[in-house]
Amino acid sequence: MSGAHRGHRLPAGGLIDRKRPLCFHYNGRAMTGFAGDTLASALMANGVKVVARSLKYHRPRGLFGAGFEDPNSMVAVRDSMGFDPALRAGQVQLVDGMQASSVTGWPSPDFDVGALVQCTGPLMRAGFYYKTFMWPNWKLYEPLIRRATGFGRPDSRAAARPRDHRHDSCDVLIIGGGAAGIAAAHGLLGAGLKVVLADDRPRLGGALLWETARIDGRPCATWAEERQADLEADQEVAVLTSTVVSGAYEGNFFTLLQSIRSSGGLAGERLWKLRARHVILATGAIERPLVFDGNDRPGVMLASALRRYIGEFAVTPASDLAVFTNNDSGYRTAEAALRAGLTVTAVIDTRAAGWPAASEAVAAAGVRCYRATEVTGTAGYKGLRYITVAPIGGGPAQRVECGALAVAGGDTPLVHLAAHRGARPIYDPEAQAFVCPELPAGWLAAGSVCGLRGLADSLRDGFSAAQAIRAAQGDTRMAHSIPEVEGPGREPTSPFWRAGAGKAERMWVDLQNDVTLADIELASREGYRSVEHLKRYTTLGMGTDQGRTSNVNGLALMAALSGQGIGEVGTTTFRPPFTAVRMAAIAHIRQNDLYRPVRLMPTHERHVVAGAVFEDFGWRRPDWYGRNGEDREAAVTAEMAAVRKSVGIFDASPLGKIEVTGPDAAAFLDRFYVADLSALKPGGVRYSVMLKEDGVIFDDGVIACLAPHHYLASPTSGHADAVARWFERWRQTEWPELRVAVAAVTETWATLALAGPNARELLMALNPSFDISATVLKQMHIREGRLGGVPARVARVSFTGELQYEVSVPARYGSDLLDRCQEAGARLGGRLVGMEAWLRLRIEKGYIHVGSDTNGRTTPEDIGMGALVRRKAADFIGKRSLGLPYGRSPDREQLVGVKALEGQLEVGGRVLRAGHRAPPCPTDGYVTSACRSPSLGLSIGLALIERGFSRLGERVLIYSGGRVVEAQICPSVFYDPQGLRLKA
Amino acid sequence: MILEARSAISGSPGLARLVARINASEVPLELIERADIGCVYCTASLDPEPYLGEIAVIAGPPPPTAPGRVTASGRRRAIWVTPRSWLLLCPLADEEELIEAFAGAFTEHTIHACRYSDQLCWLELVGADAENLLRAGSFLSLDGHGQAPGTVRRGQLAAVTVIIHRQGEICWLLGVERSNAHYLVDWLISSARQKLLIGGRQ
Repeated sequence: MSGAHRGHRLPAGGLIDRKRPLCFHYNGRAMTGFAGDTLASALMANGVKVVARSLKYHRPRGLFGAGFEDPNSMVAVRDSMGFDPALRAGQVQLVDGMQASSVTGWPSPDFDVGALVQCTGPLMRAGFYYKTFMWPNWKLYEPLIRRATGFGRPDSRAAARPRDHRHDSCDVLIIGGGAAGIAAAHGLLGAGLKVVLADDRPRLGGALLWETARIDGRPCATWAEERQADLEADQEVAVLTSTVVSGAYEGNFFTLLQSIRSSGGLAGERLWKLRARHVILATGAIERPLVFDGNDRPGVMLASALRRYIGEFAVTPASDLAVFTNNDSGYRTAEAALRAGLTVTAVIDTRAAGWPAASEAVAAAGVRCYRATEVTGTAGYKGLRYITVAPIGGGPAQRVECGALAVAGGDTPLVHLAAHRGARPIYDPEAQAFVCPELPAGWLAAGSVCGLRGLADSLRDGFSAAQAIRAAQGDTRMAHSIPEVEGPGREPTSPFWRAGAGKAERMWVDLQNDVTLADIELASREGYRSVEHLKRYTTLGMGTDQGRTSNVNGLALMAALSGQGIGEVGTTTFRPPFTAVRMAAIAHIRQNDLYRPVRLMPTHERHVVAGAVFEDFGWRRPDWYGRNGEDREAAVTAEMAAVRKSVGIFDASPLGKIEVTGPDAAAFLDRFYVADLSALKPGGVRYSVMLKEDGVIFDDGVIACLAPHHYLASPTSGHADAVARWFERWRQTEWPELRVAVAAVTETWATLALAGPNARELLMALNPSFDISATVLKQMHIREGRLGGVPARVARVSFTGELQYEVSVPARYGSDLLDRCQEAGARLGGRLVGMEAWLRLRIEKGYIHVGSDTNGRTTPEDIGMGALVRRKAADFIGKRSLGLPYGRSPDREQLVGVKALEGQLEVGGRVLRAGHRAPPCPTDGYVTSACRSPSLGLSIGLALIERGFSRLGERVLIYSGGRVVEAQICPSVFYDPQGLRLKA
Repeated sequence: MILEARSAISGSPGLARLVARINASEVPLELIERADIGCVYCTASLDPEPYLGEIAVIAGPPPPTAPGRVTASGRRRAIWVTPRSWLLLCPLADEEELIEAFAGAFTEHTIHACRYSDQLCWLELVGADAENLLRAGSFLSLDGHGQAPGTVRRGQLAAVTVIIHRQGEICWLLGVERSNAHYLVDWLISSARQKLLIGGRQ
């Protein structure tokens, strides 16, 4: 090491707090760092060279970048707040007590048994698994390969960190807190606009934190610090540090992930959903590596990352460094290293001319500068020892001793978020990079994301963007002057996509996935031309870094091999998220009962007490009631028996209730329903189905006339909301001339259905204020009045085939009504009835259940309502479609009953075509509902069967569940076909 | 026999009852069930403009004619829902009287009032962190400066439809369909705990 310092920590400099040492463990070894370190910088300070192994060949990998761009440094991290199985070391803020470990390499990344696979390297080129693991069956290999891949293992025992969600809107979202972003935010101060500035790092500044330029006469890091203070003091500006903008969506909607940090580690995360009127994209750029033989050696790293390690964290990977560059960035790195007291053994520049003034200064410091030269090889296994260099185009090779090599291959602008919105990245030959000249509406770009930019350019861009937004508000004041800059200007890059000398199979393009130049050449030879295919065939850019450092090099190499321009090859598709987002952050508290909204009936707690076993039917409803140790079948049978023999109490509160009112209410409803409602008188109730425009049944239910111009439609529970929306849509868009209003009041009323021969007696016990005798409150009639002293509606309608009343009271009285019904019902031998029994009862009666007994083709004609349709002269939605040839086809599936002659029918059972005894064979239809009928002692069902109405009495074979059952087609009404019981 | 009433959350009809107090931050966040609030849903079957005066005579407050607006008169408030419909908030005991008054005045139901006290469960959320808590569940406003005090909007909160009335700087009234009330209360409490644990107001 140089005499200027000891170890890898530089004696001075950096933004770390040397007064606050922190202890941590890495792979079981105790280490120390300082507050302000990242885990990556702390590992470097402790001399760690190998942090991981590569995916395919298990080659040793060192720190290559300093932040999210690093393809190598995936580690598992446990702090006092929780555990994360796979994070990039450069993105982890060091905290006291942190325990980190490698997630690749066994038993450790320093000594990895898996490295033996390198011996088979020549056999494992691109696509080898597509070719190799096909015989005898991919499934044999898949588990092994899956075990060998991936990063880290989740720890379910680890405490869950709190997560928060936040929705917000702003006038301007500035993405990126570097020079351009800060300038833009500063330019918007005092504009009266709500500004959100988001940056992924804990403090604003970006490269200003470690570069040596001066702004307004002060170090650029100081300028950034002062501007951050200004911004944070402004009420209109929200500065979100440690916040990644992870996705950009339609309508300038963004997702942002904010990390909330404490001294103990990552304390929580907040997922923002943000809408912005204006967007300033100031995401900057990341550096590209260079492709040469042995460029994956630990110790080879991005030049900008090295500058950051030196400038922000005061650490260095080695005391003697070399630089390999095709642009001016390499000289700035050399200067930074020299200022830090490090030895720079050489700067290797691919350019034959056009060197910056800095090159003279570097040379004057005694650094040997090679022009028009390339690196042809590296030496060392777990750390770099030396490199060999040679003139481009051939010449004698020389050996250059160095412990680290900084590589600078040009910049890649971070245009991903614009691309999420569909902006197309275009290749800019001057910048040697893809940029987005056409941005989404409301977006502006500033800084290096636009292409070639010096510091002064970036600041100017930022202020200009701010000025443009102010101007759009009619504010033409320039509130702030553009600061003076002493620092680097635009830095043209000379194209250099690969070294001329060296072996292609040792030139690494994607360090994480071990994709080499040889792999790309192979893909090209095998005919891959599309960049999307190249990506999937070679796995280039498919790792956790999504090819941030590898993609452009890969595209350029592909272009050269295929004889295309880089712009013609194009980029792969950028999709959200920009960087990994924890599923827990997205899920928030949506788990268990909060996974999705749960709808409870007003009597829910009473059903719990009654032993209900709940099912989710859109609402949480009792499926059956467990009593006296009964199992489901016994309970359902007993519930059905109660309805048939005494009285059953069924909670029908979710049944839809829509009040339709106004002078044209009757005409309005008549246009929806198949039945003629124009003649419905107050107190009357009618059953009908409604259709969509194609004539297919959409819903069914009863419609009651409560008073002149006042109707109550009762759609099915599952369609209640949809029918209300359907009414409203037609009212607003097609029939605005009708004087009608629609009000969905489903939740206003608790509804109990009392069904069975003793239903009237039970209803009497509830003390109705009106006459409910059979001659007054007839079947298909409704009365309003009071019941139990409170407002009530009682409709006499039946879904079971028995005498039945649907009793509705305001929901707040529902629980007490249920209590009273249970008390009175128990004296009559009644009991609560769940959904399963209720649905079986209606099968016995042959009543349809829309969605079960109908499908996306079923018309009223198919369920036996053809006569009703034909009787109605007035028009209604879907009527025209019923008259089309398909609607009138004699081969349509028609709803009929089926009864098993042996065995049990099951829902979904296929009716085999005549002449076939087992599948595979053509079928004529299927069973839509089925149950064992206690009343009939038979297995019965409803079925949609081709020409069903004309096949009554026919014996058919029905296949379901691997068995064939013989059944007979019969009328759909099995129970009380004369309807005597419900008219009782 | 007189049936007894139960409110959706606390079971206490006609009362304002504290459901939860979350003390994790400096200013406690209080969630109160306002079962004392009654409600009538008023709809017009035609352009209501000529009838606004008549509606105001029956309802008390004049029906607001602009989105987000609330008008008040005595203990009653009128909330804009659509250009043709309003929620009339009133003491629970006034519900029946209002319905009868509308039915008597508009016999053809050109203007119709229906029971709504049981349709919505009203929750009051009070505390300095209330706004941030609600912002966990939805956009309160697409205006960058948020929902202004005194305004109301109907939208999705935690994936359920909610009437959100900002009564004051730190006091919010939420109207949620009764069936979703338990879910929303659980969501608010769980979300508040998450939020208050990680702290920070942005």
